Amino acid sequence: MTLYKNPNKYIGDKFTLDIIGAYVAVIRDRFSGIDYGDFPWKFSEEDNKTRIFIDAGSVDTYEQKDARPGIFINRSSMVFSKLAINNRAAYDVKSDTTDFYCLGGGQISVDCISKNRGESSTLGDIVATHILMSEDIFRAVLNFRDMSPITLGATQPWEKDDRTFVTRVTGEFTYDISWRQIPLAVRLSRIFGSVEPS
Amino acid sequence: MITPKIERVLPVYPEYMHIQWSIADPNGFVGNIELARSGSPEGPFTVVAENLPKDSFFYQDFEVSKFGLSQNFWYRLRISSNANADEKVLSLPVTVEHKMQPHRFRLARKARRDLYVTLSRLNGAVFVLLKKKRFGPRCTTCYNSFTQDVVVSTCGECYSTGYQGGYHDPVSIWGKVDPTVIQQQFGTQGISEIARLGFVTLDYPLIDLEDIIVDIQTNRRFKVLQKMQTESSNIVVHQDLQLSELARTAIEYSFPVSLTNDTL
Repeated sequence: MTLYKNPNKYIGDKFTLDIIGAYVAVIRDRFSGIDYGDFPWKFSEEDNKTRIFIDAGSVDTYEQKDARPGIFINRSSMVFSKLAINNRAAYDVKSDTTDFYCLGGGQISVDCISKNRGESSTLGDIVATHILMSEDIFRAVLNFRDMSPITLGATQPWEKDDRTFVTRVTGEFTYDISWRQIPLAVRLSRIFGSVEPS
Repeated sequence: MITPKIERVLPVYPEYMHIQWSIADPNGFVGNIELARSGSPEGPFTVVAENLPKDSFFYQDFEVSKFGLSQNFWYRLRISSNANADEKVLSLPVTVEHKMQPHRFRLARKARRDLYVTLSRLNGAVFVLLKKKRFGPRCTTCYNSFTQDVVVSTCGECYSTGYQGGYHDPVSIWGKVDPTVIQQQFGTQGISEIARLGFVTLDYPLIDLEDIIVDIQTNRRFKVLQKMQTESSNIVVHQDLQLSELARTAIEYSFPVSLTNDTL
């Protein structure tokens, strides 16, 4: 079982790398740990032993090159949509503080790359169904609100050093964001109130 | 003495292959006539017609798949003798080719000889050719017959070719590799590298696209992407290839090749 825990102090909750990391962990988990008999795509953390490479996409520090078959996870654009006028959720007259909330929504794309059309397509099927069926787990780990729809794209070829195919799986996700504004005057008056005049 | 000879193999695209032959049979002993087809002159041959009439001299093979521009087929006759049931006579395998007129053939042979001497004594090295299987029994592990897909690119039975064994037995050849330029690209997969290079070798064995060439000194393995046959009066003299070096994760590196025997 691959455990996901954000290891970096600079990466906050729901940061892009946090979300991608969770997807990487969940997809790696599908391909490792469990005894699948003659399952041909067993994942290992060691590059020389793994039968499939599962990583965040477009990373410039990886040692492996042209890793195939491979699954690479990226985040597409995100939209923060309003649910209320000016995103206002509540206002406290006494303290003059305002609470806000909105909905963050984005898309994760998972590229399943292989030199064979059949393998790329099959990996796409496995990934798409796995993400679909692990929605509850994502909700529990990342507090996602929703994780649908999952789209399994067409398998497309391109030529590199060898013939290569990619099947893209995309999944939308949404989560709640809330924050509070405390006016500076209120904070200053609290400070003044706590300091005795000499 | 029965002497069969295939006179001509002519493709009538896109429908059939016309095969024409003559049989010298002064004593009238010709019995069963069989025509067989193969993807290489060495075989294995598949019988496409048998019990042909004794006075037949051609056959139209409608079943052959005329796969691509670099795919060839060889035909061979097998004749049984009425005088001796155990006697079978084979013709030489013949494919679509120009008639080798003697003086033209000698010119081509001289050019081949010069290249052989250049490669073997001056600037060549021994490489191993792995000819990709294009016929035979399909892989029982990963081949999906309904969509004709290979489902496991790391399959140890077919090496991602879809045919059992993946490649024919290795053949040692003389060749020369041109200087390599390694280009680096950056994309979804992170860093990827492309190394394409030229390769010159003799006229035989015929190399097809997607065959593999192995440098036995370094175990670098290359896939054939392009092929240019240099010809003299339509007779093949040597083969100029464009190769692509395979990524280090490629299953083709797992195909067993002896990397110690560099004699030819």
